[in-house]
Amino acid sequence: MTELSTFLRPADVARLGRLEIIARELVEGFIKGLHLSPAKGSSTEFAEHRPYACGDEIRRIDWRTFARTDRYYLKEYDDETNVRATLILDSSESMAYPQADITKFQYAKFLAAALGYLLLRQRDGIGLAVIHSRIRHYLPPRATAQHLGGIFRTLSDIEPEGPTDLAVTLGQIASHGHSRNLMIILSDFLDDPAKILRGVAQLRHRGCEVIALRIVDPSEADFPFTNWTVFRDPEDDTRRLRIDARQMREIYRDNLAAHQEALKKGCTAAQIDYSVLQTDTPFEVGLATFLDRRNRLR
Amino acid sequence: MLQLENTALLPLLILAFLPILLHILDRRRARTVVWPAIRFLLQVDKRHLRRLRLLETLLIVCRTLAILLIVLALVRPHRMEMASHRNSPTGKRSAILLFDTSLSMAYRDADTGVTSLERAQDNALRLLESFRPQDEVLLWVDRVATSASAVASEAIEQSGNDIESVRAQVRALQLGGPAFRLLDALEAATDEIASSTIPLREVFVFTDLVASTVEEADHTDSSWLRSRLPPDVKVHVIDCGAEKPRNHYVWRLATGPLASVSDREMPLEIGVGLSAEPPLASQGTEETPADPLAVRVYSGLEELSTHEVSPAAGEQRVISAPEVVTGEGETLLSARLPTDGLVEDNVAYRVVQVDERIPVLLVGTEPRGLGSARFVHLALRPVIEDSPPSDGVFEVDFTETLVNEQLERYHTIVLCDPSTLDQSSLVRIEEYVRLGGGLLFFVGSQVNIEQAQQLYRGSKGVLPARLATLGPDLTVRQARPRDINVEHPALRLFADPEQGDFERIQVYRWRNVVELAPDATVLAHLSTVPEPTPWIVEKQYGQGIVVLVTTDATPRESTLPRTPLFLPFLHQFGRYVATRLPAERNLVCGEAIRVDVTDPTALRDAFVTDTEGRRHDLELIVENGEPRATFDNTDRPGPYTVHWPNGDSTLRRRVFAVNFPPTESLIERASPEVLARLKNDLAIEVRRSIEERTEQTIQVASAQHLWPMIVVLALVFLFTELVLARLLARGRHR
Repeated sequence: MTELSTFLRPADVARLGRLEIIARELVEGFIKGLHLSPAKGSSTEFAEHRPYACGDEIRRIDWRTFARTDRYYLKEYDDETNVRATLILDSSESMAYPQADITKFQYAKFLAAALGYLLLRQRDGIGLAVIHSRIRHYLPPRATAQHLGGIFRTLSDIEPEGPTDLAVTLGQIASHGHSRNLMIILSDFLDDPAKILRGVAQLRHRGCEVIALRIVDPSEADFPFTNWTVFRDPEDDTRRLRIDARQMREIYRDNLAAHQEALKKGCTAAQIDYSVLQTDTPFEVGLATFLDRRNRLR
Repeated sequence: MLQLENTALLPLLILAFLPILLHILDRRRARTVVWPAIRFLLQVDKRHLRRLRLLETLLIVCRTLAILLIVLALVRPHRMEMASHRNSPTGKRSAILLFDTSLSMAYRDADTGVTSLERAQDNALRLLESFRPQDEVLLWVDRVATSASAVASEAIEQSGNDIESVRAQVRALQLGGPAFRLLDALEAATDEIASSTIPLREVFVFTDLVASTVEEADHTDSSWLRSRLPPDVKVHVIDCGAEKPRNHYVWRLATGPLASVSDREMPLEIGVGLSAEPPLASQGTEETPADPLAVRVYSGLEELSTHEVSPAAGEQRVISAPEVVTGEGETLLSARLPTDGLVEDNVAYRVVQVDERIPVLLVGTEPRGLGSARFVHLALRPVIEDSPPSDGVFEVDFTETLVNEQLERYHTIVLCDPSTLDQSSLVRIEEYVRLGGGLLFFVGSQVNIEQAQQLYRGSKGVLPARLATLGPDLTVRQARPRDINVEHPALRLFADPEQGDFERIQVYRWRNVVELAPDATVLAHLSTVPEPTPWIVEKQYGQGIVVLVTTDATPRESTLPRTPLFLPFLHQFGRYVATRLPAERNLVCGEAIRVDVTDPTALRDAFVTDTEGRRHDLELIVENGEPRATFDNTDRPGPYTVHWPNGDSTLRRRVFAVNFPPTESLIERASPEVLARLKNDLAIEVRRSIEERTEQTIQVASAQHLWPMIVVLALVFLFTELVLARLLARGRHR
């Protein structure tokens, strides 16, 4: 539990314990819990009969129905199942902003740790994918404390570097991971909205529930500069711009709003939860807000 | 032609570069920020960026121009309009006509027959024809006349913008102003012309431009004046003087400092001068030898003598002319030259007091005894054994006490070592000297020195020195006179040792001087040890003169009474202290006549007649607590007579001689160098007639002030800057 205490204070954990995360759609799971599974399994609540198919386990044949109808039917139940969640953490260079106070990457790490702990308490499986232009680390979902410890260690060691390519990396995760997982993306989404949505769409295509959490520094929203400033792209040193910041503020804000709007619309269309969290907000408040929203949607 | 008023502010124009400099500094000081969301900045359209840069450039240009224009407005530029005044129907003129009315303007040119003043008036009247009713004209005539060398620093007569009134005043101009100094007069006019808001501003100076008008020493003044004179004010000097003036003049008529006696030879000094050849005319002309000038000397209307003098051009000569004047009382002497262009300076006047005899009162012991009075009496009225006294200069009375004497009868009192002087006598003696009496005081061993010291009164009294009391201070040893001031009028006779060597006199006893009054003058010392002690001391007290001799007039104290020097010594000092006519009776034009007043009510009946016999009233003033009657308008040279009631329905006449200021006689033309300097330093063009100037006037411009227009432009740029800055700051410029 040493790693856990590094990221979350006990008070944070207690506050989050009063909330329930309820998936909007059924996901596959190994452990029974509060979530409804879309798959029919060996549960106590009958769902329907279906004809026997080659390969089905013989022990699951409903012999009473066979006696009455002389046909082989399998009896299926709606089972309560656990969620298999994967935390997708963007570790590109752009997440290292700002240099002082808390960076977007640090904030995302706290959030990821909180979510992991919460999911584990609900006996859900939790996995981690650290990405930038490719997948840097991938830990498949498990519902054990040891596994969560591994996730925490990975989070502790990782530092932001390299450029972002969400379209590619999300596609890779979709092809590697299990279907019908809960995918929680923690990123600043500073990429082309079309490319981001294309990557997210691949996850949806695999039946995954996707939660997009956009981490934003307040200064990125405000653009507080007033003098002549040289702006440098952290992911590409050759991209520099010397401008009178005062004159560009409105344009910047307009472009940022347009970008945000495009992302929001695309996510809504793809039935993806999209939320923006600022790093000056206590992260547990943002998380609680998010969970409340999830609860309402259900 | 663009001209600037405040050129000192021109360096501020560099401030116009401030916006550019700040822009460059801002750009250079730009800090580098790692900005993940740079994509939102890079998405900006390039055309929009170009527009942004254009706006920014416009903003800087606006700021630069605004500052430039503000500084330019502070510099107060104006454009000189070269259009003719006559062709400018809306143009107004503001002009000052500055007249030189000094006495030199009375010179009448032999060729043209007009005086410099008449020429000035004629030019001014022709100039006034070009003025219109809406124009503003001020006539400045300097009439301050505190002395002959007074500067024209105050304008007395001013006329408003009524052209007709100005014209009338020009016609009525009279001579009598003080010496005219061009730069001083311009300085006085500068403030007035500078305050005028009319664009076309001019100063017209009408002067004879003699050398004293602009002197060499005025060079620094011209620089100073240049800094004060508004640049658009055009100064025109109209030279109204004669081209080749040639003027002879009497610049001095003086009698000796000794009292004059009727039928006795009176020393007279006459100064005659001849103006230098005009510098302008001297080029290419030959020097002509001056003809002898006949100087005629008059006593009243009686011609006494004629002398000939031949001063060279530019030379002043003094001739001695001893004259015998008959009569008694105040006499007006005059020295006259043949008339020339400047008539007023061909004669000089002097009022002298001539007495039949000089009444002298001896105070001391019996003259038949062996005291000082005997020797003094013998010297003043020499007698030959058993013969009546000779017909001498002095009329001598003797007294042992002053109690019953009418002191005002006497011109001189000789205190011959008197043994007693009571308090009332001391008071009377002091009052007598204060009112103009002469006192010769021999202080020997007989004098009650404590009584005599009361005349000293801590240097405030009539006695010029405090003396030692009898006793150890009265030494008995031998000394000789030394440091004799032979420049003194009473001792001048002894300048030549051949005539009498004072230093051979032996002095046995004397009174040491303990303290000298600050206003006392030592005329001779005694060669005492360790340091010389004063022997003869003089002091002016009130209107009278006191001469103190620290020995008595007997052979007991010195050998002087037994030498041939004693008689001329006493005669010279006797006549010297008897001089009763104060200097205020001989004045220079412009100086005020002042008369002591004992009864102010008599002023009602008193009057003064001027040189032409016109009567004028006297004014009562108070000077140092004393009432005095005064008359200031002594503009013309000649005798002025004050008539004062005697109290018995008769009038007492008192003549004042007012002479032409000698500086005004020097009517040499200003040198070409001086005129060139006027042109270079002050842009003053000197012209011979107003017509020459009128042509210039057509070329003279009025100043059109540009600063209001510049301020408006600056405001437009400032407003544009404001709009652009807000647009850029808000980024609403797409």
